[in-house]
Amino acid sequence: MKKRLALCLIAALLLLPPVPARASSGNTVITAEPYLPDIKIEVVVPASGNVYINPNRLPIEVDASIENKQIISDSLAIENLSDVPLSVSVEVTGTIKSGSDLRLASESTVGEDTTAKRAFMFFEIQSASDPSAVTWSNVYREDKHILIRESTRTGKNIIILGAADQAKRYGVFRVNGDCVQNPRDAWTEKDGVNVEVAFTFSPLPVGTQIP
Amino acid sequence: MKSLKTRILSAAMAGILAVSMAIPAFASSTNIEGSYQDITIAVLVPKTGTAQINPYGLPVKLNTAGQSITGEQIVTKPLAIANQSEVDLAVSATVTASIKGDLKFLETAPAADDTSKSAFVYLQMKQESTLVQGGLNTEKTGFTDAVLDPVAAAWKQAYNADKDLVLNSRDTGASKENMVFLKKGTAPSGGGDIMDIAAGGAAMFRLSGAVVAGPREAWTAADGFTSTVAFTFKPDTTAVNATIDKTELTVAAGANHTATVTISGLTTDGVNITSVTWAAAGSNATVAGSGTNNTTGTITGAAVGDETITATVTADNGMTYTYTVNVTVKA
Repeated sequence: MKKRLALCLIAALLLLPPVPARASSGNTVITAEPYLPDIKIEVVVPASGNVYINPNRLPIEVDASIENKQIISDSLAIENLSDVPLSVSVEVTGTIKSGSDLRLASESTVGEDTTAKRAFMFFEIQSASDPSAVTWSNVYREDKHILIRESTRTGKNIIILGAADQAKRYGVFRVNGDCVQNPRDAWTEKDGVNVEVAFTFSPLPVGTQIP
Repeated sequence: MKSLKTRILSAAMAGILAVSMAIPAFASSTNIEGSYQDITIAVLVPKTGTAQINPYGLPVKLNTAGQSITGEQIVTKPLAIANQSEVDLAVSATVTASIKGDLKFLETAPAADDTSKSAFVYLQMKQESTLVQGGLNTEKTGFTDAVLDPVAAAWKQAYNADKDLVLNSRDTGASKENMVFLKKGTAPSGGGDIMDIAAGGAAMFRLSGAVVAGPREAWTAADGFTSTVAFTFKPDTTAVNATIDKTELTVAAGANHTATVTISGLTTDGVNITSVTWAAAGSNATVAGSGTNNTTGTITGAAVGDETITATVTADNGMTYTYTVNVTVKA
């Protein structure tokens, strides 16, 4: 009889750990250096403008419209032609014309019981995309406007102008205010004020939000 | 004698039979052998990169074709990584940095009145589906500028504390896991082990941020920093915990049945479903998605026969996950 050897093999299941999450890696070294090209600041600034003292509120044509306020000025504009937005600071200095006894007031003369020859004048400026389409508020606000006195008043970072290819690249400004209508010594042609406005421009990053 | 012989023979036969019955049939062997399946992770990673501190966000030209990056105070020449592996990958990063000059890193964006020479710099990554195998350079060492530059020029991405990695000057740097996910490669077109880069298999990365434009001590050429971005790639195990409530469905022709993909708390790191796309392979049934993120699929039998409905779930980790409903349409 042929002996038969029964081989009973037990299947061996080798339980190995699941495929490990073998990590791999790689490095990138990034070197950062400043990019500092010369920034060309180019702004068109008007050389002069006119301010009219109009005590009797006569109609005066300014910028193709009729105004009858007591202090009327041309609406002037600076224009930013730079590649970057600019923060604008101003220094405003009032100088009474020689021979005039006019005095600059620190607050509105409206309703004031005085016969002194006084004018209340303030400087206002706002950024705009279209200098001919600007709306003004005639109410003086200490935080927005600069009082014109016979000393230099400063408005630091008073507005931001958009870059040349941005909206609001214009800064439209004017002088506003009021005056005593019937002073003891009547208004004459000798009366007047020179207002000197000195602008300082500081570059801002491209993309700065223009209020 | 003959009878005895017969009896002996019979006894012997019976014995053999008995023995043969007692011994089990010869067993065939089943040898199941477990073995380690190695995963080769291959990722294209650029060795170096350059960035510029650009205080005024001036346009920085990328090429002579006129493409530039504008309005960014930290500008990085376009960089990308690409998955050439057989598996989806989760990408983590550790960034260390060393400073030149008197620059200091901030952990938040600089305040408007900050006059210190400081920078808020962070690593950003984004999966970029337009970067595929065909965009590689001749040497296959990275993508061509012609492919990378337009993407970089159009890349506008605000800082996101959950996704971006802020640089600091500590020795240990800063780390973030699963910053981006890369789809696995496709079969290599040129042979070999390195897979071709599939759509979704590459990601752009950059340093971005904000700096103080006009510090008290002006920016000079001596200022700057060097950062090392150490990427770690792991097989993507952030499976989406989406479940479909029916995988087999029998409908009558013209009847509606609803199969729903339920989107429940995706496993790790805040992965979320962004959309579900439903499709029928044939014309025996139709499917229409509805509900938030299209997570409900309404299946309608059209003609008798079998139909395969597929729900493709897209997650905000950039990955997609597919679920199938086998539909039988009866008369």
